[in-house]
Amino acid sequence: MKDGDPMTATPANVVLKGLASVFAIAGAMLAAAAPAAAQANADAIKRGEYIFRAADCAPCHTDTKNKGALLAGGRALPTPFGTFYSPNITADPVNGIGKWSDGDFTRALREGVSPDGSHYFPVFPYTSFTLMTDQDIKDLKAYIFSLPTVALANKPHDIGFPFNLRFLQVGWKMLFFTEGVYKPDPAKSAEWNRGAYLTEALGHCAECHTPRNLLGGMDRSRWMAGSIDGPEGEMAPNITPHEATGIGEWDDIDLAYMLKTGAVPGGDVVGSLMAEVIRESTSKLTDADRTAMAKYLLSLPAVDHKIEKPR
Amino acid sequence: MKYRVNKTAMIAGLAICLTGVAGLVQAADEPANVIKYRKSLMTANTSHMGAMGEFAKGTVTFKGGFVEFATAINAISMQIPALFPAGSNTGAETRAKPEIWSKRDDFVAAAKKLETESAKLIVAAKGTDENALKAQITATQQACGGCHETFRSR
Repeated sequence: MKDGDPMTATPANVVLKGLASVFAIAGAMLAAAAPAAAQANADAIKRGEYIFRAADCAPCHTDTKNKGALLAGGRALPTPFGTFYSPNITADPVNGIGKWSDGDFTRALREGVSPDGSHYFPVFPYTSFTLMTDQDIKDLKAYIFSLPTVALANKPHDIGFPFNLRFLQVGWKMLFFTEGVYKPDPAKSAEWNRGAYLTEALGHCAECHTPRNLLGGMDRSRWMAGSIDGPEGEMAPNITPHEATGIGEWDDIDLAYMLKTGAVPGGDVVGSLMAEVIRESTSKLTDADRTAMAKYLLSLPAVDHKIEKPR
Repeated sequence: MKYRVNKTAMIAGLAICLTGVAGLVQAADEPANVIKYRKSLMTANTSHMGAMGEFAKGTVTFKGGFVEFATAINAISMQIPALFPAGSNTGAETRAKPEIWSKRDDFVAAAKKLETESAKLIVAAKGTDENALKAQITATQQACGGCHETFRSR
């Protein structure tokens, strides 16, 4: 080799070559890291979309009746305590949740507390979402943040005194709210635990199908046993396996098929709010998940509770 | 000749009058009876769909008569808008929602969806592909639910 040849192994060249290699490797790592991060986010969004469906977020947070934009809020939610209007949960930084950190989002679902520290009314079912895993909550946020933002201001709730006093929610929570992620029951099968998680944490079925007391707390002794004053003044049927007053004559195939199609044994196809749940949520789940939910629900204690409108 | 022309005109006039009266009588059906009538047809749909639904679940293998069942549902689907004339929202127990009359175009479109899906169900029932038949039974039931979601309570 000639003197001055770049390949000559002088000490200086060795250092230069070493540096070049370091830069090359660092560059390669950076180049690889960017797509890896993008891929991880794409995976989170994909998982989050399934959580979004299973948790049925869209119907309450979208004013479909008035052709409102997805998740821009404003849907009227009439309750015995007054009419609530769902908030904008698009990632709009001013009107929506665009400025929320992962911690803010987790706290909202786990504790029912907004980033400014105020307490949510339990019309937002944090009472069920508290059971969600950290991973599912993070994935859900990734999905919601991947959707279009909408600059629509929130509409104030229309609820009477004293129910409009948010600080009273502290007392309500002490009485009726148990915070904490779902703890699988090791004595039960993986399928049963999956069904319990889908039904209780994500699907929040009990929020409508469990009767409430005068203060709006769920009556745990009649879990899933139906409510005559469900949302929008509709009755929510008893979905415990009680032969006479519930769904004791159904098997898991019937129930899984109902969650897919809305068709109940005998052929009627459910309407109103449950039709919306099926269209937006349960029809989008896997067959295995619907079957797990069905088996879980049919394993609950049968409660004798006839749901009938007083005439 | 003149007499004969007049007689023909008279008969034609009478016929028009009678048709008009018949139309009026039909429009004046008692709401309670309209509700009874349409509930019977909805029950027919329920029974046919319910039976085919059991096949779609895979719990029975019966599929005799499915072409006729689908044809009946298709025929009934075409009657749905007429089964809900103005004023038939009360008179007897009914789960019909006011949106049937306030969002008439959407209601007619939802009924049309059942007509489309049940027409496909006739085709699927005539075919030999059981999975396609099951899928179309599900799609037809979802068309039922698509209307019930907005236009029927529960």
